[in-house]
Amino acid sequence: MSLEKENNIYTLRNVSKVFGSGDTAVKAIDDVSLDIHRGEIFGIIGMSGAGKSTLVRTLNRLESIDEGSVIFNGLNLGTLSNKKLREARHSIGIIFQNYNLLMQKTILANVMMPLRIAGVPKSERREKAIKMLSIVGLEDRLNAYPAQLSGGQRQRVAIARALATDPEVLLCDEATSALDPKTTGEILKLLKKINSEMKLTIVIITHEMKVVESICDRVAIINYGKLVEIGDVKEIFTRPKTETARNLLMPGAGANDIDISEYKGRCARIVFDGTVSSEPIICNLTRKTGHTVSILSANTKSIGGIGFGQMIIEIPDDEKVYAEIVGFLTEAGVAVDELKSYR
Amino acid sequence: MSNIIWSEIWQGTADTLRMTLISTLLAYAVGLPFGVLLVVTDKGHILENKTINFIFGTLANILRSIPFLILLVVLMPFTRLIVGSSIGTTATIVPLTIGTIPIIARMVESSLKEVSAGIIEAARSMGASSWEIITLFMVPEAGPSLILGAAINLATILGYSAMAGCIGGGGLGAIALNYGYYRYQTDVLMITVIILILLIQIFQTLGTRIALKVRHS
Ligand SMILES: Nc1ncnc2c1ncn2[C@@H]1O[C@H](COP(=O)(O)OP(=O)(O)O)[C@@H](O)[C@H]1O
Ligand SMILES: [Mg+2]
Repeated sequence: MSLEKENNIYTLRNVSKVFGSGDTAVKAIDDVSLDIHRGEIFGIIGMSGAGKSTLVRTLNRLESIDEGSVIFNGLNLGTLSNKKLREARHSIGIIFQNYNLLMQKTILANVMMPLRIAGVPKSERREKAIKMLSIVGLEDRLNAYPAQLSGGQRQRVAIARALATDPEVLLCDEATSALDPKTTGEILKLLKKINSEMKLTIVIITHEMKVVESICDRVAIINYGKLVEIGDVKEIFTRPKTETARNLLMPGAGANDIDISEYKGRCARIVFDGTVSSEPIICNLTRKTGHTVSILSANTKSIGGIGFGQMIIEIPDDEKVYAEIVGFLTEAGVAVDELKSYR
Repeated sequence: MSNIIWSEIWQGTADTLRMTLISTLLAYAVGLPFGVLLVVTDKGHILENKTINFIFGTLANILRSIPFLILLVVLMPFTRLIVGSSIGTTATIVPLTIGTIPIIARMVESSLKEVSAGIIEAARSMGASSWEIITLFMVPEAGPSLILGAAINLATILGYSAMAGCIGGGGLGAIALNYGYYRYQTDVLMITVIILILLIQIFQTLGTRIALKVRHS
């Protein structure tokens, strides 16, 4: 138990949250249990409306929960008094998609604000805020107002503000979703740097798999409020067990994008898990079996040094040929998943 | 033209300004917290409270729907009770203040509602108390809008004060009535109108200038 407490900064058990009631009730979180390890970058990915924001908001109790428990550092957030909860929040930083900075205050004043609320003496606030702003590379813009900054700069201010009170965890709710790819990359790099240099746990909510792919250690996939998969990013990306995960991780090769009823042959999804590479295997297939398949869609890539991905292929509609091809692929270590058409 | 008593006009202008400014200050002392209360007790806000929101919302609506002239008359006994008289510039401050409290409350309410929910979430995430959320986040963020609102309210109160002058309130309103209406001195009437227009212009321009100056978004 004490070991668990040490390793896990968050322990969620059977967390549920319903919005509304009766016919219009929405189960935004449905019986979610998960642990977030101290020091890791934990991703939570899901389609829009899956319940990601609601889930992350339970982590600092911006959202109360109906059932279950959210334990932060051994504290049950649900049973804390108002005063204790506000204290706990000094240890939980959060940044948002819309930055949520005070537009009428300079960025220095913005970063000083959480220090004031945490009761840091006036004389120390300014110095600390300047230090935080230099960490995010904005030490020369102290007296600028948020409106004078770009989106990426504003998110940097938000990061400086969130980290001003030396929290133990930083929650990021779609923090890069409003930014262009280049700026997204810069912000992710900054987060990664903060994670390794400050030993800060980071929880990243996103609907973009490239965000998870580039900096997360572990990832949880949620769909309709339910936790559908959780584990190491490499593991989940190479062997997604559920349809939700596959659609999310490889949208380009999702069966959803292909109308398989248009094809005469039988369509199948083949998944590469990093033990074999995709290119030679199709060549080898043709060479060894003498049959050809057509690739309808492919999405293969290299993550963390290992290649993986998936393809949708069309196989001639012949029982014997189909069996040979599937046999070859299975033997080669590639999972084959026939896609049925619902004509 | 010879019959215009300038000293009386200047005295009237000073009285009008005094009534307007004091009433505005007093009305803000009540109207600002009133407006804050309307916002924070609203559904989904930091101190959501259906009952309080309903009671104060209804109170504001009732007070606001009484025509000011009627309110002046209705409040006369009350005014006499606290000021000792129901006529004169000091007495006018009472109905002026009470009449504009609901207007200010609604104006403050609409300014504070412009503050994004995201700002309040950020404040809560920092561990701010409700008092801190109101004083350090909501009011400062709504600052420029509150100042613009104050300029509009000053103009409204100025207009009301002139109306009050007609029923014993003194100031420019009384001068306009006495000279312009009872003695057919149209020139005096015109002068008071021009002064009122100028005052409203000054308030409005000043308010807009200040609001623009303090606004950063
Ligand atoms: N305050 C709320 N009131 C009612 N329904 C809500 C509220 N917040 C979220 N929801 C609903 O809960 C579900 C999950 O929302 P959200 O957590 O915002 O999803 P995501 O962040 O994954 O897009 C959605 O169906 C959304 O409409
Ligand atoms: Mg969301």
